[in-house]
Amino acid sequence: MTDGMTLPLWAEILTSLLLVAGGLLTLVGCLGLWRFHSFYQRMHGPTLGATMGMVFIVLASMLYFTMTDEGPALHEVLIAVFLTMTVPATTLMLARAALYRHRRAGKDVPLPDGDATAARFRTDTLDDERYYSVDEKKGPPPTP
Amino acid sequence: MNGMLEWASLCSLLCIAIAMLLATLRLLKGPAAQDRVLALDTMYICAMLMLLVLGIRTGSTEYFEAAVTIALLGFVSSVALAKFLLRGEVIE
Repeated sequence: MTDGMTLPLWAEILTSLLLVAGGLLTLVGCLGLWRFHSFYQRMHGPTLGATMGMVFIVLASMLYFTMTDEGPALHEVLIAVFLTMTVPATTLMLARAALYRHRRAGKDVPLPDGDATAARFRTDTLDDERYYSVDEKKGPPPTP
Repeated sequence: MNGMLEWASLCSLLCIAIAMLLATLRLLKGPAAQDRVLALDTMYICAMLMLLVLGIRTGSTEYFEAAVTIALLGFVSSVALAKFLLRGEVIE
């Protein structure tokens, strides 16, 4: 821990709140990654940490280094802008890859709207080969 | 630095560490390859956030550069893995 530079109380409280909120959001997102049932549900979890969690922690860092150093510390915006641009691109490509792989395995994705419970039980077994077999008569699925 | 920020950063680090642990569990469990890629993607974001919090905790700006590097390389590797999932199966 560095000593000698003390923050005003409001900045310290605000930084602490932002840090804890960012950490908790990331944790909740990863809990979703662990607990959800199918890949398409799981994809929604970590975006929580990649958007709001990242923004909170970047804001905390900006506030802290602005108050301790002289002058505004704006270089953290670089990370925020970069992640805001790249995370949706990665997620989109991953979703397309998953759709392609599921369709090649003969599975009916994306799931149709309607009964949520039925859809949940179907997504439970989406990656379980015992419940789905490749349908040869349908032919190859359309390429994305 | 007095106590509050120290405890808050410790709590944040702990939360992100548990988040990384959950992502590691998903990485080990799978069940499909895209789940593992998603877990890796989550883990690099968590590692980057952890470095930012460590930067606040120690009050040094060196951690920021490591965080930028992780963000850059993590994006490239995730895109490469997603591309492989999309095209590797075709050749199979």
